[in-house]
Amino acid sequence: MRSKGVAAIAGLALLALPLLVIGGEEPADPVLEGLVTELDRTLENLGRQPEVPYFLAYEIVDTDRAEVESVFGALDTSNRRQSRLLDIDLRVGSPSLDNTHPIRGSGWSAPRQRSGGYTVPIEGDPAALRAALWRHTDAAYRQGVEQLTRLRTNTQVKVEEEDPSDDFAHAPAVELFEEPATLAIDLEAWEPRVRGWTASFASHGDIYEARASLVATATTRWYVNSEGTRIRDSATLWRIMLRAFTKADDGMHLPRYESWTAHSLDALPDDGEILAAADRMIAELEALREAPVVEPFTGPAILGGRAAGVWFHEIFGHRVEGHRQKDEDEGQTFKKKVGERILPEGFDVFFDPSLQRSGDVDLVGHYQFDNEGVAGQRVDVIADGVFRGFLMSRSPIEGFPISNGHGRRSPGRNVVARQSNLVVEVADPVPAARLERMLIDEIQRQGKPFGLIFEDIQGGFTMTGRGFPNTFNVLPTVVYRLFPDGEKELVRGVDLIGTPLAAFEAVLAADDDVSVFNGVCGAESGWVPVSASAPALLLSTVEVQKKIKSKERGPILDAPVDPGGDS
Amino acid sequence: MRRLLLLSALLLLPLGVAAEPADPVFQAMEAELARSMTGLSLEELAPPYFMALRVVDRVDRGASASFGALLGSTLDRPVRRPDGREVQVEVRVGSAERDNTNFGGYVSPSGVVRSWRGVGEMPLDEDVAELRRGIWLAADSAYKTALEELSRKEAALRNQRMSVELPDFATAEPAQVLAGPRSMPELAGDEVEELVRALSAIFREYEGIQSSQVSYRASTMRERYLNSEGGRYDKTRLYVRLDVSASTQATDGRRLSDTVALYGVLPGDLPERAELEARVRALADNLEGMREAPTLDRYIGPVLFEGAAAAEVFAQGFARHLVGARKPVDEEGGFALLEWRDNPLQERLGARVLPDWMSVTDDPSMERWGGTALLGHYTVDSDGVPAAPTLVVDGGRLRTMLTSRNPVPGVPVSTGNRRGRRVTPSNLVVRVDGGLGAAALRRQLLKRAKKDGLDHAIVIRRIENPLVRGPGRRGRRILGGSRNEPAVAPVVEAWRIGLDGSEERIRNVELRDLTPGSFRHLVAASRKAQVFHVLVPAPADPFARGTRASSIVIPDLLFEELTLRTPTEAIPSLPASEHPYFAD
Repeated sequence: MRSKGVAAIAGLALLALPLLVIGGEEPADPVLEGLVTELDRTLENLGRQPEVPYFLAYEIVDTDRAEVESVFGALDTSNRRQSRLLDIDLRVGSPSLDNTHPIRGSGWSAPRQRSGGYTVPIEGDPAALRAALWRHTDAAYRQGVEQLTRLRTNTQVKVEEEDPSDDFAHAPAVELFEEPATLAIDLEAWEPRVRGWTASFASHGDIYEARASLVATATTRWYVNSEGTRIRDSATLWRIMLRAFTKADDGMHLPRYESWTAHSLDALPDDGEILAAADRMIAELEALREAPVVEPFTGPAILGGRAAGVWFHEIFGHRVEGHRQKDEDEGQTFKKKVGERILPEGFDVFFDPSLQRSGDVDLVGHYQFDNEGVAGQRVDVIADGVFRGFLMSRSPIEGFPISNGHGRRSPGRNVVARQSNLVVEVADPVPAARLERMLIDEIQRQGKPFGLIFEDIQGGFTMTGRGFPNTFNVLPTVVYRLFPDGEKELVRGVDLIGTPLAAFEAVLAADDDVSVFNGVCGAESGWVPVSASAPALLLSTVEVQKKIKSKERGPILDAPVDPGGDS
Repeated sequence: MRRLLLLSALLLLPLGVAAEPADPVFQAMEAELARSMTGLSLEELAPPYFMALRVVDRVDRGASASFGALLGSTLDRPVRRPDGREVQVEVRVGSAERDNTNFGGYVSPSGVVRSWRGVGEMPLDEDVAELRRGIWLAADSAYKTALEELSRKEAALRNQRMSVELPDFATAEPAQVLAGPRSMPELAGDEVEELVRALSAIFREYEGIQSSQVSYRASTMRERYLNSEGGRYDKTRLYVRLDVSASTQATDGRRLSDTVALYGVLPGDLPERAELEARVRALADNLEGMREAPTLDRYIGPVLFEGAAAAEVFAQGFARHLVGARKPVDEEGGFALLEWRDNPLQERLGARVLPDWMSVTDDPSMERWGGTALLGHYTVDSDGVPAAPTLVVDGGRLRTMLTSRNPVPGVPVSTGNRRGRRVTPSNLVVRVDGGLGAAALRRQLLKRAKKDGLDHAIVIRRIENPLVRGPGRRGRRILGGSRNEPAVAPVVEAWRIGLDGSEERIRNVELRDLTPGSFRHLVAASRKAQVFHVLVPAPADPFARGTRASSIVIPDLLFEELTLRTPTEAIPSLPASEHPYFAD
């Protein structure tokens, strides 16, 4: 079983090789110049120290971020800010045991993590940049040596580790030089548009928050390492988000979210589409206030495409992140399942950071090279229902010795394996219209009073460690109850819960209508953009629990608004 | 009775409307204050007996640079529109004798949109309906939270009694102070960026300095305030600040750092370019000079604080304790009382706290001292109490504490010192009778050293202020009054003065035994006083952001005897490689 996994990953690595020769002439770039000069000088200087670093990488992320936000038709925020943050990965010891290795059994002993990278000049002045690199590298070196000294004792006094893999994998050197990203945005021109997106909420006194935002970011990233990798890549991302909430009379918080994300301005929706979504949100919020509450229930259900995507992300995606497989505090649900069937035949699940779009939707989990300078590669984690392998950073695990370009982080955190664009495909989808019919059949077969349809969700979370129940929780916002006679009723008050292996066993079918969830995922290496694309799924059994309910009553006074528009 | 009071409060409101042209923010505040005072009540729970609304508009512009390159800048945006706007709602339920305030237990905010400490978001647009919506939700939350606070406080008081019974709210005449908006002049972004870049590039001349930063910030804060007693103000605070900080290690590895913070009301209040460059060079020279300077094992003897060091030692060691405090009611096992520290000066109210030749006045009404704009100037405090001078120490005796409308033991009324959320000194003017000329003061220092059998004395010229750069771990311990830490921050510039008048720089010095009581033993001061702008740490909550700067007019101060020593701390290794700029 293990050899299959190795073959699959090796194959991927070979496929990925052509990516590694892209790039051209190294451009005149003072940031790159500063990084490379200081990297070389540091290695030379530290080479004379008793403990010599065997690897050093610098990553600088420049972010130009503009945001315009409105509430109920009035402007709330309009600003733009540029920052440039540095991360340093310095390794002392050797690839088989270095300072990044966890110290076991001593509580709070992990290497210190910062909450954001180090601030470096936003201007291309090599001398100023190098001064900052020198100072922070020196601190990283001292910390690395201290950590390694502790580790050498720790590995002797503790029992042998279950997974004796090295701490660091080899990766080929690459070069890529893209033009820096620029952000062409006129905030004042956007302000009236963004105001307009929330104006229709203003006459609804029982909607307590209605917020629309446009966030545009241009990111340029420089990455250089001691193995010769030199990268300057760039990305732009535009995101429009609507969010609003109301409360039911029993105090329940009822939110709705809509968002659109694109790599370029022209791929964003026009105002007509956004305003239609706002009107739809208002109608749904008003309907949700009146909707009945569902009691805890198990039974058949349909997960809409976006809900299914998040469901896969939570129950499966986090559990195939490679580094968890050698962390003895992790649940390691799939560690020994390579080669085993875990989904019905015909189901494929893969992660592919090279994908830029799914249909007409841009995917935010797209990147060319990860935060360790490794090309982001497609990883077939489930092929025809059979589990194949893991998402890998440069931290090897038993049977998976190299990275497949999924080492990711937000500035200031240590890289671990993270998800990118998750895609669920099925060989024999059923037409979307038939899936509901199949749900009714399943309701009748099980003798249940109704089934559930999870149409939209706000997100979810999961726990992967051994110290807690290995559960997931998907947070739906629009749920219908489907009765055996085909009648549908909007309901509220439930979260979708479960455990991963049992949940996969419940998958019966999928439809032919793929939806995309674009979001940001938070874990130990910070927040990274990810997507999940999936068809709607029919599940034989789901379990729902009561949503956390606010104890807050509504406002004592009526809203100071007149439905007619005057106040 | 309560109903009658409410009616009279309401009657006052239309007067305010008449006095002020239609400002959409005030219109929204008036409408929601009136509606809240009449409408906020829940079944058997009482309506507010007092409410205040404060709408705060902020504009912050600035740039920072290090080693000749910009780290960031927000100077490319015009200053005409606020970046952020919030409403702060204060609700008092119960009665002035006993209300929901002065309770130490943590009460999680209530409400549909929870407003932490009564703060709610407000849109930037001057749209009355949307401004009202922001106030409506924040007021709803603040009222419900206040009810919970009062009930928890009442419950706690069923099982205990405060040793000192004080009312919770002091009366104050409602004042209307409408200074109107002022704005920061549009900043020449390119020029300011060029300035911080150039000032930070000066450190390229100093091989011994490891890291440095220069930052410039210009802030505008407009506050519009309305309370249910008819009080109202509209004032704008302008504030400009240029910070220079640098750090390095002495040749033995000990950490050395230094900071200069220059303040003004308007950009023109900051020193001229040449003077700024000289200040940066002086800081850099001092820091480099300290690298090789000797340390001090221990010194017990007379110490002279000159210039800025006199202002800092007075602010950190004495003036912060001029702020009156009262012990809150807390639940059994609560944290508020565990963290409570008695104010050492308050216990001496009416008694001597300084030599009889010294007096201290807090005077927010003073706008300038000589040619210098004072940062503690305001016309009305954050409770709406008009600014007036307060003689705090008279002939060495402590006459009053500085207060807000929250009465403290011995001081039942407000001195008009609420600045933002906290009580903070405004402009402190220290006056001395019989001050000495500079040479005479120096002679006195050496005479006392000789009398003590010493062959030298110590002059301190600068002390760190942990609030300038953010306090860090050690600064927090110092400001928090940790037992093993000195009462004031480490000294950044100290000199050993030989009996023959020779001067030698010393480094890594801290004041071990300075307490507020030490100030009673001041033996002399200079005739000449200078003005300095400092951040006076609040006695409680000293690390919170947003401490308002005070201006202190103070002479040089000579203490009869203090203990100085080198801190006992782990000494880091020196860098493994040379600074790249100087190595190439």
